[in-house]
Amino acid sequence: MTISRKVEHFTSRWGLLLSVIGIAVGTGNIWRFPRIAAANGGGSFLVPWVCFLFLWSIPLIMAEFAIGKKTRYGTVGSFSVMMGKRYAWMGAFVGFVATAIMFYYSVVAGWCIRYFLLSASGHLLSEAHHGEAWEHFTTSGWQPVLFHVLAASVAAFVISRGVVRGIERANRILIPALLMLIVISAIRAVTLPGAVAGLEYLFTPDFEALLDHRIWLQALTQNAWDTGAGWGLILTYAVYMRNREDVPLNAALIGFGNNSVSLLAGITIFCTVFATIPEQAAEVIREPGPANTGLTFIWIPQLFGHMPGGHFFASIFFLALSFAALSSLISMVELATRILMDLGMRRKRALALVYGGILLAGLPSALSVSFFLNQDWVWGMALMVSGLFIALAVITQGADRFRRQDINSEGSDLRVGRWYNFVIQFLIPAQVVILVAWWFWQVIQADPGGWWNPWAAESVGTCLLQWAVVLTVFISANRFLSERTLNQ
Amino acid sequence: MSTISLLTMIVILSVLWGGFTLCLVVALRKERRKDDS
Repeated sequence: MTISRKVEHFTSRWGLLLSVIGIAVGTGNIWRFPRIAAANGGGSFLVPWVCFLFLWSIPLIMAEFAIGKKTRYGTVGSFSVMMGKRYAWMGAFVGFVATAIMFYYSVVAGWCIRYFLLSASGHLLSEAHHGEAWEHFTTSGWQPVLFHVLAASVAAFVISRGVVRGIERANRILIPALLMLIVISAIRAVTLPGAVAGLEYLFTPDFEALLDHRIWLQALTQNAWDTGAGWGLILTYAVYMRNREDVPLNAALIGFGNNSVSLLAGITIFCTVFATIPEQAAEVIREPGPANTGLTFIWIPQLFGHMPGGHFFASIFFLALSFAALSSLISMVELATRILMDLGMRRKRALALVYGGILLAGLPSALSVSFFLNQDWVWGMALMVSGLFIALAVITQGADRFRRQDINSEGSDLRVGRWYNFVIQFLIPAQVVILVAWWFWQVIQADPGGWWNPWAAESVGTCLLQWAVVLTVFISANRFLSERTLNQ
Repeated sequence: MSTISLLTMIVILSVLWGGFTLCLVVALRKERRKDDS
């Protein structure tokens, strides 16, 4: 059963798919995947990473598509419909996590735009010390703020145009261009002399490493963070799906498409690094830097500097990165705007509030890398809880009934079998519990004296404290949220 | 490049890019059928 509400619809399946690929493909595909793959055994990492595509990403993407299509509400209204009015706070938490990520993701999108402009103007590769240049940029104060404002303004402009003229039209340009840029970069990278060593490193499996639980947990984490599954973003775009639209095949397309892009980015980075600095390659490719930025903003400019046509290819790389960041940022702005619209605001007013919120709440992350790291840690971990809440929403409906009525619904091109019930009821909750416990355990082991400290940037204490504050606020405001949303 | 690396590359690329292409082809065909009806 779908609820009838008057909302704008994507004009075609391709408009919807390109927009959802825009959510899934973000900076995590381009800068986090290659580093994590390198640090976890290359070929050995790819096996569990592909497994979790089927055990985490695709099932959750299906759930989000089906919930959005069924309820036609953003996250708060969806949870009120799916689980009952007493559980609107869960939807608010899911929405807040994506919104909190949006605040600092706008800063990240700004970094990408700044590096694209620098490389396009020919100034990037002329820097003598890229590490110092990066440090100078992030601590300069006004520069990250300026580019944060620019990124937020672009995303807000797109959302102000609505679903069809804004989101769909922007993604119809951004995503094909992004895919083309990544393919061009990959072709350039694999044709560099010595690039085959990068492919060898990426695809050589170490079968003993497959017995190491850390590789499996890192592979699950990568799927949870870079496909957009369980964030509430796909659920928000699904509000605008046409009734005849399919759920399972679209979800599979998004999952395969997202991981294919990650692999292409991995091939590009591995081949470039191994072709240009073969002696240091294995060490450089694992360089994390703050929030995984080391490889992207410090090493990549140096690598392009060693390459014929480096200016051109650096511009292409950073343009692709900017497009990936902006298409994801647009979806985050829409998620927050949709929740406010469900509460009764008009789009323009809701957007003005969200835009003001990004500018203000993004400022501390633009000015302080340690604040940025704290937010990335706290809300990155909270995404696992969001995934759990989405699985719980499905379980409350009855997993089998949800599968038959809402996933295998009108317009479905594929039939999803009973395996889905097991995955959503047992495997996803188990994966969340294991993953959160493992990450917390890592922190406790790394800092036995300070893991509880709520004022430390990356501690268990700061996570639990911030989650508790947000949950308390939303549980207190539950009645207001559910009644205001459902009465519109 | 060693045989095992080449084999792993072929398997991973086939699963991901093959899966994506297959889904895309099915979606195109189904969409055309929906438009016709």
